[in-house]
Amino acid sequence: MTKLLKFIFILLFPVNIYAMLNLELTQGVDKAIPIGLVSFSEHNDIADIISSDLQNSGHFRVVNIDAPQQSSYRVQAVNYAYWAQQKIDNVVIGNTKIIGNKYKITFKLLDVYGRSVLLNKEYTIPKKQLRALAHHMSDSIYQQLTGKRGVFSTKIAYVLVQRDPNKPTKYSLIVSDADGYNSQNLLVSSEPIMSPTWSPDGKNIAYVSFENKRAAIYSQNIASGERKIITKYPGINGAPSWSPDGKKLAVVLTKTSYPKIYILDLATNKPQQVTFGMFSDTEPNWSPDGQSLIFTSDRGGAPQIYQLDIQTGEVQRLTYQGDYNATASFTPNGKGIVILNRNNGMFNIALQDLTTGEVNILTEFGMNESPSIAPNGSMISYATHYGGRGVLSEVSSDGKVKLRLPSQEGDVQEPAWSPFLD
Amino acid sequence: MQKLLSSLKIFLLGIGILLLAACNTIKHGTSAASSGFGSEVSTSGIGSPAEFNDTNINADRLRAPYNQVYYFDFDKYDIYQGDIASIRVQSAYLSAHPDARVRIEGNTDERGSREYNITLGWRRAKIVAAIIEQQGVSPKQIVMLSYGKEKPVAFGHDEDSYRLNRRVNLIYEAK
Repeated sequence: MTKLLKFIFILLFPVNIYAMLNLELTQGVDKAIPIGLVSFSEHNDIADIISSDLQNSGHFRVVNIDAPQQSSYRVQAVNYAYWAQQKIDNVVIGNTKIIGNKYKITFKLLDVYGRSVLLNKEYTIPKKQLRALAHHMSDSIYQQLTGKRGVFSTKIAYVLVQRDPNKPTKYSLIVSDADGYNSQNLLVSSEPIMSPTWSPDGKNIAYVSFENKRAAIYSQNIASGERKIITKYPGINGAPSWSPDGKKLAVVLTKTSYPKIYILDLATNKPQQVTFGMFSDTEPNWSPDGQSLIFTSDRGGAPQIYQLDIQTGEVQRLTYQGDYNATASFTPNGKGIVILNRNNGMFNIALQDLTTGEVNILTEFGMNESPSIAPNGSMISYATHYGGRGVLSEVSSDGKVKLRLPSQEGDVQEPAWSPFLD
Repeated sequence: MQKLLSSLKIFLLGIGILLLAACNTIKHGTSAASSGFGSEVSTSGIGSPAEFNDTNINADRLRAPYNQVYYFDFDKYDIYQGDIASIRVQSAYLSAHPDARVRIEGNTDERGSREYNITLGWRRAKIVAAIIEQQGVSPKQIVMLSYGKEKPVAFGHDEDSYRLNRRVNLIYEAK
């Protein structure tokens, strides 16, 4: 009955669902690290940004303090006894000074029990770089306390589709910070845009655009917006994937009339066919060592993931669980693959261990697609449906942390996580 | 207890009526928010095969046959036998008008991988093109394209919409 009432409540108040779309941690780890964060200044929201970053990683329980008596940025004035009593292991203190149109920001990460200073940094930045600096500081704190490199300073590319019955559908290729803020258009078109993918140096994005009512693969410089056509053969030009050295692009073409994988040397733009036969091969993705490609193929009937040894041309099947596996990509350490897995009609994001073959389903509800893993392997971004719209979500590689990204009007799809950018 | 149950029934009936009202609101709210969702727009702009089967080629020499749509089963690219007669009429028109150009666009429903759906839409476009070419039409008159699931005509997340989206569109570009 309680369940039924809850269901009815949700149906009766759909507006509340839309209102919740902002950065929502829906599930975090059990043993999150408690960390105190003292407000940095009344001039900006730098402490709030760091707080959101750490909280939304799922690995921290952030306690924000505004009280001036606790907020001194001088280590000598920190009340360790107070924090210890709150069972807070670490505290971040900081200070902001305005110098002309710049901020001078200092911050320290303190160990409450050891009463020691773990990090002590100072920055002078133009005011508009505040968000970027906040993410950089979050990365430092995350690395210091978890031992892993943070991804708060990385970016996400995605496609936004806005449908209006009175106007042509608007497709936008957008790049935003990893937390969904600071979004900027790379391309706006009245025809579909697909499959954005970052070059390994993070400077270019390759994508498929159907402008001129035909498919073509473009590579666009993110800083300048300049772009060039990579392929525009008749038929499919799809699923671009950069080699780890950034010199080649694996693509899908229909030169033989069947969708086949080609490797394109970007110096010459000459495609070399690497898969053969009368079936559909698509979604190539390079192994971190650049020696092999994994791809989706219906050569066994339903789509499954196969691995091609580029040197020998040998192909072997990798996926056996589920009646449909697609959109595979390697984890950064090369030990696993992230896949779109269908079981009993449910499409979920899964991680397959390449050594044991074990498949771990990370999502639920069965309307998920387009997984893209963060460069530190901690989180996987993917597209899903929520409140009747396409939105982006994230799940940790162990399935324990889940969150939704803020979204604009329209359907958000095909997230592509950038590499480390510094 | 009996009383409690009957008042619960009335309560649930009331909720049911509210739900009906709420559904309208949801529909309205959704289409206002992201536009184009909802079944009211789902079938617009699609020619019907049955209508087309009556077309007389000789009577229609000056005009391309009405833009045609062929539908497919989930994850399949087999043409329905009933559509072959229609495709032959298209072929006859193209043979009779060597300057005519047709775009054959393959599409899929929204389930599954986007790029895999591009290959599925391609296989659907290819099967229609193959039948047309078997009738003696020059491949030069045909442009094949797959939009996969990127250009749906129906926006529900149910079989009614899926059925309408798994399609090949024939679009004449020059006559």
